[in-house]
Amino acid sequence: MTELRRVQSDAVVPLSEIIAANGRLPNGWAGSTEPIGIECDLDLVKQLAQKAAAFLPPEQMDPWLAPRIHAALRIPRRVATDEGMWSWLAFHCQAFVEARFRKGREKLHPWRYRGTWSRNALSRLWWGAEMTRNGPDYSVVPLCFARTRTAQFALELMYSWDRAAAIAFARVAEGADGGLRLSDERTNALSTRLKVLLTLRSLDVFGTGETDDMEEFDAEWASHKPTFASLVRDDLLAIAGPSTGAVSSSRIDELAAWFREVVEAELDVDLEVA
Amino acid sequence: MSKAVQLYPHAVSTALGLRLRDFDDPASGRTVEITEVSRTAEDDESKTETVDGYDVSATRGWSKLSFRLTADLPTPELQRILPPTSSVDTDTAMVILMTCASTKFRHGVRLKHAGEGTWSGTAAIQRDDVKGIVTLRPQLVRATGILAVEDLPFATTAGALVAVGEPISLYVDVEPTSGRALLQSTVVIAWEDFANSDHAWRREHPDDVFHLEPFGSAPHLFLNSRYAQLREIMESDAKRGPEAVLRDMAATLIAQPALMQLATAAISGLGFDDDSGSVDVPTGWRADLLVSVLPRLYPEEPSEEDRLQRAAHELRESDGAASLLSRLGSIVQEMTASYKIIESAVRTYESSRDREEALDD
Repeated sequence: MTELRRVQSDAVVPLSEIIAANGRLPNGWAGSTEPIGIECDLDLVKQLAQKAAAFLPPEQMDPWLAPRIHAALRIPRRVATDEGMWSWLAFHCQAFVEARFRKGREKLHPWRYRGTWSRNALSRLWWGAEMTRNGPDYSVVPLCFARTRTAQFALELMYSWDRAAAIAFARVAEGADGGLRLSDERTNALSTRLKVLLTLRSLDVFGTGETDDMEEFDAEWASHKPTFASLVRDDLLAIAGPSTGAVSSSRIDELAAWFREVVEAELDVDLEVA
Repeated sequence: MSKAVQLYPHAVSTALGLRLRDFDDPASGRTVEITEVSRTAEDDESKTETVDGYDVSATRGWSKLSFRLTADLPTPELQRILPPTSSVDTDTAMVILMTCASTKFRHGVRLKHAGEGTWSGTAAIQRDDVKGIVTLRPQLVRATGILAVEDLPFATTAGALVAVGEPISLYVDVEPTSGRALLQSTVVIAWEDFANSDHAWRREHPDDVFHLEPFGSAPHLFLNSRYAQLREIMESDAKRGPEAVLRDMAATLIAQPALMQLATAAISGLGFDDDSGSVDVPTGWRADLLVSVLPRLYPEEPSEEDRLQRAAHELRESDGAASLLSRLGSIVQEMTASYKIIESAVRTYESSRDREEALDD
């Protein structure tokens, strides 16, 4: 186990500029980091990121790595808000950041190392998995990351902080609710419509009054340390996430049905206009 | 100051009230110390004080926080928003939406109707799930639909909001020295004797306490070394007492205008493309500061993109820019935890006065 560290705030910008431009960090960069008081299996995180970078095409890296990085890095949300920590981890997984985000000879944007939660190459995967896991079940996480646009629209708006809504959105966008898979434009339009509709409506009366689990972090789960072999198996159902944060399937189904209605109402409007 | 007003297509009350009490840690069984945070609204005739926040940051050790929630809505308002045929018990649901922007925590807590426009219930949060501020928004929601053949002035669909109230803030983490910490993490601080500076502007303003250069890859804050005691106090490690209070007050005195200048520079760096409607975001410290400031400036905007668009738009309109700067003043006060510093100063003054009075006795 390794002490989880953060890059000090005054060093994040210069170091991320350097690694994005040159592909490596200056000697002694570790002197600009500090411990955050908990441990992680850094080797496991690096091995998983390395495997994704070496064996998968860029479009398949996110859906594969997101649930596994989450299961490897057993940290609470409170800790996951630390951007300096995500920079430290991204610096350690530079091969993955390069393989996933460098397009040809274009310059890699430094925010893949230092950016906010949705831009840092690793934090976006961890947060996406955290927001779309259903208790220990990671099966929707790859759907959310099937396309960059689905992840963006499923995770960036405030309604997606509601786990059932984020899961329902990913299922509808990817056609896993039995409907048609939505184009990027339709996914964007659905997200925008929901944002407007939810100014008049509450998400919290869906699901026949069942109360979702109020707790997110599962300290008992976090105390167990997974192995590389246990996390690289193909069967995602064999990888168990935290027992906390479960939402009822009836609530997800009701929300997905409503989201699908919203999509179809928009299609009707388009047909009338045409 | 301009304020956005939400219009609804049906009767909605905005008079929903929410109170929190009985804070304790169910894991340890200990009571959690709280400080009520209130705001004063004043008009020509009266002055009213409303509790709009609870600060639990003083109790360090809690791992879980439970508390009782009570919501209320005056009966005439209930009668205005619900048709006479609807029952508060079966046709509505009182939901307290708890959110934490830092951790994307979002849970709705249902309260039970206790009669006469009052609802109550309990909630609990884990410290590991939240950071900074947890916001609690009371919402009364229509739980059942009404089959109506004609237009009614009431909400008729299940899930429609029929009453809302001002949000309550639960301050989980507020560092008393946050003004100093914020400055240290954003700017490069240098001490210089302004009277002998190479910089013409500082040389011409030798009595100033500080000068900020909010440009380049890292903003620089120059503090005037002419005030040697200021340096001594600013570098104090005192945890409490008059020395700590003086340090925090001095740091806030500098941090507030400096952060205001930095935030203004960061927002001014937003570019707006009229053709595509997209916002060009600055990089480096400006981008980092925008990430801290914009969610506080526009809590009602759900995404980063929406917040950037709104800031870029407001900046281009004279009234919008004035309103933005006005709100920014409040945000900077919150970021530097001004109220906390003043409370701490008052407590220190009171305890020193009590000691003096005891000596007189």
